Amino acid sequence: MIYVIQRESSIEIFAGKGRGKGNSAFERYQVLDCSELPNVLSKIKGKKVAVLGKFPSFSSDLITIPKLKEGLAEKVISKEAKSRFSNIKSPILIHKKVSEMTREGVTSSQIFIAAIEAEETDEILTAIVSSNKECAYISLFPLVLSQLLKGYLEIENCFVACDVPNEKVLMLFSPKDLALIRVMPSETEGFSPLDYENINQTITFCRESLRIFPSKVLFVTRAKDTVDINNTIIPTEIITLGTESEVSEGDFIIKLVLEFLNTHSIELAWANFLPVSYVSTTRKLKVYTAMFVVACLLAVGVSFNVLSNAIKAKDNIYQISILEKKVQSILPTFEEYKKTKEIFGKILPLINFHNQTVSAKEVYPSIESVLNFFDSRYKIDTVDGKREGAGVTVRIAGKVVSTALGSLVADFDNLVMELGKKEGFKVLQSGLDIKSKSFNITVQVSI
Amino acid sequence: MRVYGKILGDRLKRFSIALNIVAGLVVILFLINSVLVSYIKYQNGVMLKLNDILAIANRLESDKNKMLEVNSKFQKMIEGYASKFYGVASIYRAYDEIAYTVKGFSIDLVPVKVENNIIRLPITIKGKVKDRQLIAGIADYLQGFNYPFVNVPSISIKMDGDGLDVTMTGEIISYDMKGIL
Repeated sequence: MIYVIQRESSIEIFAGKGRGKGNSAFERYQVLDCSELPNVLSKIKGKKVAVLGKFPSFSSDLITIPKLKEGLAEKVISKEAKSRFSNIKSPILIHKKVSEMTREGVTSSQIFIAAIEAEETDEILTAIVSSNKECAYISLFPLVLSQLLKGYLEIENCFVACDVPNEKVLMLFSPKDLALIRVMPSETEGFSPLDYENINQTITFCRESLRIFPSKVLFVTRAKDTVDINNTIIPTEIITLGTESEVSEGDFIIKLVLEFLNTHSIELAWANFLPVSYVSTTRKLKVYTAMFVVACLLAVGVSFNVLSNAIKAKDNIYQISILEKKVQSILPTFEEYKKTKEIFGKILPLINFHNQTVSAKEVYPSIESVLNFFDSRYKIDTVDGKREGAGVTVRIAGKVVSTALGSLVADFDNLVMELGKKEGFKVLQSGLDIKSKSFNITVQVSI
Repeated sequence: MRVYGKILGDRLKRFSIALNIVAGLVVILFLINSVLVSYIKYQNGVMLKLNDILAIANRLESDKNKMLEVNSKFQKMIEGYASKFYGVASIYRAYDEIAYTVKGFSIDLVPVKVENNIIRLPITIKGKVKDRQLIAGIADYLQGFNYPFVNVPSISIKMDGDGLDVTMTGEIISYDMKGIL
């Protein structure tokens, strides 16, 4: 973080030497006015800038509003602030709840409000934007100082008079939070009679107008000898913020405030006078930047994809050309196949016919195998063998020689049974005429 | 208009223009990419088809070789005779040979029939034999023809007192290879 502090006649720039919060080493630069600021800022590393500016229009007040819901309270505070700071044309408002009290059953809140003229931030913001930095915080030195001193307070309702270079800052804390702040220009270090007069008048104002009665005045100054306990209307005490050697350094209080700002940025967020338009524009710019980066990454990714696809397409073209050459070379195969098939189509029926005919069962061996069953008891007249289907059908006709009818029938039946038993034989038909003794048998031989 | 507002506005405008340009570029790249993806898909399809054609060609080549092998075997089987006597001539050559061998038998024939490149000469062999062994011998002889070959699907034997009347019905078969090749 870079800190810019506007002084009476110059601008001081403090840049952290190391990274991270709590780093107390600062490098200090100084310029005369805002026109020189961009040159210096652009040379300093770091993006974010916090400004503790000098805004002459700064006004603050303490208002009391009934306890309301947050959104409604915001509106009431804004309306009240505008009426209180009617002299500021275009105010940038800040506020913080100081205390909450209940009187006669009604709860009300005391709100510290402050405003500056928006136009007064233009010059410094322009200088920061021109130097390509981002302003993260704008406030006043006394306001941040008040939050620092708050941590040193041990009692409630204190009045603090702080001696900072060229100014005297008068603050009222009620009970332990900032309720009023007044900044008085002062050229000399330490407290002069005029300063005491201002302190006493402010305490009286607190008592009469705000109805807050500070119990003690706390002085913060290097020139402790100028503090006179008899000059104030309430008891007095001196606060020492550091060791004697630290306090003796001229810009000790400034460094202390910067360190505090560095480490307590979140709790000081309420005192940020950054214009809403600036915040929204920078936020939009950040979104645009993020989108731009994403789009660039996407473009790179898609480009890579396009490139790899183009290489693949080129490789495919090569592969296709090789395949095309192969196909060209094998084209005659189709013609040869067609011719061969045509010839084969004519030869195949012959081959089938040939195989079928050659493998067909021979007729005469079948006749012989059947005739072997007939002995001298049978006189055979005719034998016919004919190939039918896969087998051969053998028809035998003749006469039985035997004269005894009993054995004739038995022998014939026995013959038919024997023929039927033979493997591959099937007796299709058999007949015996007892009177003429003639017979006929039809056998199918399939093996 | 505040000065810093103008500077930031200008910056915003520049970023907006750059963003639009990059976004346009991304859109164009996406379009190019989708065209390329479609083209690659088309190429893959073409490669698939070409590979299919090659696979089919290889299969056809294999089928052709098988057909040639079968064809070659068949021709080799009938080659010895067929090279000298084609078609009908080969049939009558076989007829002559049978008539010369089977003496004492009458061989009736009817005109040659040609159908589907198959030449058939139906024959009927008739004769008288003393015993069945001779019938078996004639049947074996007829079946022994390789090409043209003789098919005897029917044999009829009538037994008389003094011998056996045999009738064999069949056909001499030859192929009209000249007509095919």
